[in-house]
Amino acid sequence: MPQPDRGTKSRLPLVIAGVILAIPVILPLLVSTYAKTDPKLGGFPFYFWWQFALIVVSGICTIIGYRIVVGHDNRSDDARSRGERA
Amino acid sequence: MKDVNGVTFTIFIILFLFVTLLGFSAARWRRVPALDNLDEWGLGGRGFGTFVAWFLIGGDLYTAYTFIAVPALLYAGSVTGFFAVPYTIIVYPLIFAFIPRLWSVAHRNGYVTPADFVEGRYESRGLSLVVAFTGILATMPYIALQLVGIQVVLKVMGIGATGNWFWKEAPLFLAFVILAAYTYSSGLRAPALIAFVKDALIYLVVIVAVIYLPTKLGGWGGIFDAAGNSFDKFNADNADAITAGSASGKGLLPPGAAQWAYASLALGSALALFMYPHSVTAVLSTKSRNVIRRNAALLPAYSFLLGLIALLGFAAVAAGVSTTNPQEALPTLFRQEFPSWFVGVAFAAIVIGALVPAAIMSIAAANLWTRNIYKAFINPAASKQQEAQQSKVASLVVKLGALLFVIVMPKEFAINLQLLGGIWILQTLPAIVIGLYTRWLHRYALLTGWAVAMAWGTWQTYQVPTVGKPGSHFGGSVGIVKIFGWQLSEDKLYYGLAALVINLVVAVVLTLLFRALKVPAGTDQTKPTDYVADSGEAGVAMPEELAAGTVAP
Repeated sequence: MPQPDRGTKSRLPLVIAGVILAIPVILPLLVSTYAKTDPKLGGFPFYFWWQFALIVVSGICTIIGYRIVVGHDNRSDDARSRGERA
Repeated sequence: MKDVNGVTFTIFIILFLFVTLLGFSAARWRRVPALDNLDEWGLGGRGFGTFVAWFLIGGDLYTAYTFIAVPALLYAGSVTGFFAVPYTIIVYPLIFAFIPRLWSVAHRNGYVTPADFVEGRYESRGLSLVVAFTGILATMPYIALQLVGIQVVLKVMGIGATGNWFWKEAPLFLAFVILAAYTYSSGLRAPALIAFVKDALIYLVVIVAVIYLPTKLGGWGGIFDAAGNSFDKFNADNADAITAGSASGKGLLPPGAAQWAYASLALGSALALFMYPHSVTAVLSTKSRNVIRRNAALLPAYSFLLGLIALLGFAAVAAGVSTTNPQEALPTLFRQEFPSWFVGVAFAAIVIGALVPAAIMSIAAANLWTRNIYKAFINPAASKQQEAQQSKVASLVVKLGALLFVIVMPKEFAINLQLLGGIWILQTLPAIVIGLYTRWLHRYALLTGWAVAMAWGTWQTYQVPTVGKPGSHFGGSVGIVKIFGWQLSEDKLYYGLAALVINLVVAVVLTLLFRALKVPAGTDQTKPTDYVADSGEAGVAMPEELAAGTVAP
């Protein structure tokens, strides 16, 4: 089966984006690493403030993933339109 | 109605009337010649940008019931109650990864529902039917729960608490009729427009509450301490019952034995969330792949809000709120701690928050009915106008079903079915998500995997008694997972996730078998390039083409 032509660029950026996106999926699942009271922050037990922090981490990881994937898409669109003109 | 506070009630009614007007006028928003096709009525013209989509998806996924039930869990000292937060953390990277492919293939091929995609991908009306059936089945109790949320607020407000059966349910019935009427006339545009008001009110109420309440209750440290002490006291007073298993121990955070239940609930619910027809409807209403991706990065703001709302459950404990129905904890906390006008705003926020997802859910279920049951089996020649008309009527029927549910059945029943709904909808994941990447799994293997997992998941949940009521059923969705007597783990796990694993194993084994026997696999109507197409590319209609004459909001 022919590879769908998305230009000659490598798939490496997509792999990196995948790894970055996996971080906010995996961290919340490791409950034993954060189900504890100390250290507290502003009266919040660790368990609670850590999960609020993970929400922020999730947002940041998704923004980075977005930048990578959109950059990748634009490059492959350029490569494709060059190919179509040639 | 002697308990009703006049100021609270007046503010509540004004806000409710305002969104009602908004709901009806939504038919004119982004005006198109007619709303008589599913792209317009059922998907809002497929043209929502990042801003509108953020409110729409946020308003859709974070339901009023969440705002009632999650703090209720924490108020009741459930050690896994906070799982809604990791669940809504995990879901966005998943949406980012999977949903743009669904968006693309749906746009290229004119699919309106996930079941449309399954039919096109596998050439199997049977598989498409079970996906549609599961979607409708799982959505109905979800709508019912929104009505339960409204009921709880009305009850705490003092409306409909007295009198005979009719007067008790009349306010709920009235809210329901209004909701049904503007959904019928405006379609997805109504909840999209109302979502702005809903979210503005919810953000306002929650930010005020999380800043103001701690000043009255000794800071957040004081709230956590008070809740912790209260739970410790409960555990000490009921030590015998807890050991005997007739009561659950309470706590702020999950002990070792409950941590895998917590993690599997979070992961399973996240995977289930974007299989729900209403989330698919919301994401398909966006105008490009990147709107979905941008929203995946922006929607966690709602998760932050949800976490804060959850913690109000502890604030209710600290404030000494005493109620036998934990669902009334949050509204009672507001009524007790805030001036009456603000209580009116807060209660309106919750009720409006129930109307938005209820509308989207009924539209999504109606689209499934129309596309995958009516058009697929009853009237294959249906025109676009007939499709839209079917969906409009079906949205009424679905909501009516949910209303009967709430009025006729005990409240527990809706909650139990919602629990099951999550387990059921998760079983459509192999056909939809794996289907987005590969067609390797055989259509009949997927069908069998679905059937086995549905039966297993339902049976396991049926056997879970409510704590303290031996012999009762559907008491929870976690437990020790045993498959043919083989125990998967020492700790309790979410049955939905375990059923998904069984589903996948059956699907893989039978695929190998069916391929060896050369059972026909059907023709794929989609092309590999369909999955990466974006708006503006060949075959993908631009929003402008779909909605000629669109005006900016």
